[in-house]
Amino acid sequence: MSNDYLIFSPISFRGVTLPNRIVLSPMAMYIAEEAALNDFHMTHYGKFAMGGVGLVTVEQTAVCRRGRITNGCLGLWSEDHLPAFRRLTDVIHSFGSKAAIQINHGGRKASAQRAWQGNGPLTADDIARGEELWQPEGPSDLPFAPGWPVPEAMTLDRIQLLRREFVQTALLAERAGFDIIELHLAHGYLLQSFLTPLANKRTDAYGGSLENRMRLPLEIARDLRAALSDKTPVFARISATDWIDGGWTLEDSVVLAERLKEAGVDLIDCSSGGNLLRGATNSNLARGPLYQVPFAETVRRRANVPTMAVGMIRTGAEAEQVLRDGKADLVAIGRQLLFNPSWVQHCAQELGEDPDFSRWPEPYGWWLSKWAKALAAV
Amino acid sequence: MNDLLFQPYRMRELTLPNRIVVSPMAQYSANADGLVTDWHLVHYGSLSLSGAGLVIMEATAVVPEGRVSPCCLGLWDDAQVEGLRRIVNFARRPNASYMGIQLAHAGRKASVAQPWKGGAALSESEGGWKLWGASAKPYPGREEPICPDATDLERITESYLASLRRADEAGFDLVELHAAHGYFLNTFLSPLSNSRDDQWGGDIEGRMRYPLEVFRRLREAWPAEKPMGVRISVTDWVQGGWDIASSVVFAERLKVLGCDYVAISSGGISPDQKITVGPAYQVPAAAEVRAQSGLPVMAVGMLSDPDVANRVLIEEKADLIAVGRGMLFNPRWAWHAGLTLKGEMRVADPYLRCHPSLRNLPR
Repeated sequence: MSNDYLIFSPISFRGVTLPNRIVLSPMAMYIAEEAALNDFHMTHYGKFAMGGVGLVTVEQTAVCRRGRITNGCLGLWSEDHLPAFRRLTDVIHSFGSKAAIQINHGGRKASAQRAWQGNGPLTADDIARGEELWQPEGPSDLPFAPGWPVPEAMTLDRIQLLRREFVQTALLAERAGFDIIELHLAHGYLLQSFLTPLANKRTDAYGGSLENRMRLPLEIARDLRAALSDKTPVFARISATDWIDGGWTLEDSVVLAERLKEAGVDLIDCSSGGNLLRGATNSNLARGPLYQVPFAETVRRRANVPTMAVGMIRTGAEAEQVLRDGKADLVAIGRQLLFNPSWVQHCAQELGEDPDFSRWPEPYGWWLSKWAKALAAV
Repeated sequence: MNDLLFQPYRMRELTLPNRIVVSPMAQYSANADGLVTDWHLVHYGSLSLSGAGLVIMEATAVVPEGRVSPCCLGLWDDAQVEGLRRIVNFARRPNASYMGIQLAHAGRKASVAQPWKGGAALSESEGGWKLWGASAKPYPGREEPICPDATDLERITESYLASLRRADEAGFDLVELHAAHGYFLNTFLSPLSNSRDDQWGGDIEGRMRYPLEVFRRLREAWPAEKPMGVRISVTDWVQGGWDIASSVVFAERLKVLGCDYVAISSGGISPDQKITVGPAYQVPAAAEVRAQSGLPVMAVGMLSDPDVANRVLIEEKADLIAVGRGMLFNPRWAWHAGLTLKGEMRVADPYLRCHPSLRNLPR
């Protein structure tokens, strides 16, 4: 019966088969110290695997110290970071889920406040509280917004080093047991700021034309493909549009998706925004249910590449419809899963797909099945 | 107050931010040495972020033979402290729950397989062990338990005390003594399992003597500022067994000894029990014990509907609400209850972005 529902059907990318098509969307927790993974992350990500999510994507994780968005962001640039990530992937795998990690450099939006502390540039109060301020780097010396630190424009040498940093992090992630690497090309962070003309005013080979602005992201995509095992899929999250006149457009995204596919990227994860003046992403947009699904659909159809839909997908029925309509291959769920880590299992029950709690881990399933029988007898 | 479930509740120096308690539920996921595994970190870590005021960790054995299964947690060894402390430390963060632990000895119902593997009795060759009970009366279908003499009982009491000391070292805020569900202490209380003719058997005074002695000594050893409760089976659900009237007497005696609450569960001593299960089915007994003994009670059992749970408190039938399977089914039960009852949702900072009233905050 489970095959009747696409959301509950397996899907393969290279050597990795996801048990179902629901993905935990990467969401920064801002709770690391000195970039290190801790028990909060273990519990947090472990819980979604326990909850039956097919692919648990660990939040954006920095490729270098300066690439952290905030003082609370994770990093994976050193052997020292590896054992904790290894333990995390072991936990995720123990529940039958696959593990992905989103690798990132925060670019000109780095050295910012944790989301719940304002999501803006660090203030004197933040620094007094012990937050460290550092100078971010970007394609050009153009700040994200007035009041934000002016980034250091990256030299060509720095760009070459950055490529090696992305490769190093991806290889560490692979060794830590991650099944899939997601390259973060969205939300105004470093690689997206190379893509968008709003942030990239370079006059060298990495700026100007669309081709030049895509150069670094594509180089890194190819670097990852060359360095990683053939069995390890690479996903890329993009901002399908800047939502700003004169910015990155959906048309640009179709071109980028085609080129990423050529570079060996296996799936395009279609988010949007990140360069609006307020907030890390799109919080001041008039967002509505499924508002980014058309991006996944357009990219999938026109670039002929698998896509992931994300953004205000609230119910199992909505997710199923997205897949059934051929708009995406995977569905990423974010806040709904934060609000209800059993979201997948609840969807399965609501859809009549799991009457006997077989999708639950045994220590829960046996309690719950007895409970359900008792309730049914009332 | 319309949202009594979300009002603070004080026991000694512990002020719980609300009346929601995660009920202790065996996870059968420890390793062979009774140590916590990553299962427990994820499970209890998540529950500590559920918005509940208190999480009580599962029955944790005071001696190896007191485990229900070979996969149950223990506190009979100093090496078992560290893993538990890690979980307690995890919960030491804003808006997380206080952490309690249930100390237990499974008695004549010990030594079984994990329930999802059938739950059958394990012989010693299968990794099982000898059983202990108040008398040499087996639980029907099980082996005859060893009947402890005075020396044995003193040794077991000291094991409880040593485990209690370790629970304090691990940092727990509260201890619950497990005297329910047919386990070791329950076998003393119930006339169905206790046929001793010495000071620990016979009339209710005799049958209560050992459990009360254990409680008294634990209470004396536990820091005065930290609360301690007892989980009881309020009735055996069997004619001639332990009943609500007996529970009232027991609660009165516990109250004198400084007990902070009794958690009112039921059954487990006999397969002949006749239980009518339904929403809030144990609440009437809780209300009776509460009214007659004057001891605060924690209601438990089929209380996963927040309106029902809240009404139990408003009608003064209980002081605290323990939610078990409702929490397994919905690990953010207390948030969702907060929405229903317009109570305060306790949300850890990283999760604020999914708060319904805060969805427009930057992510």
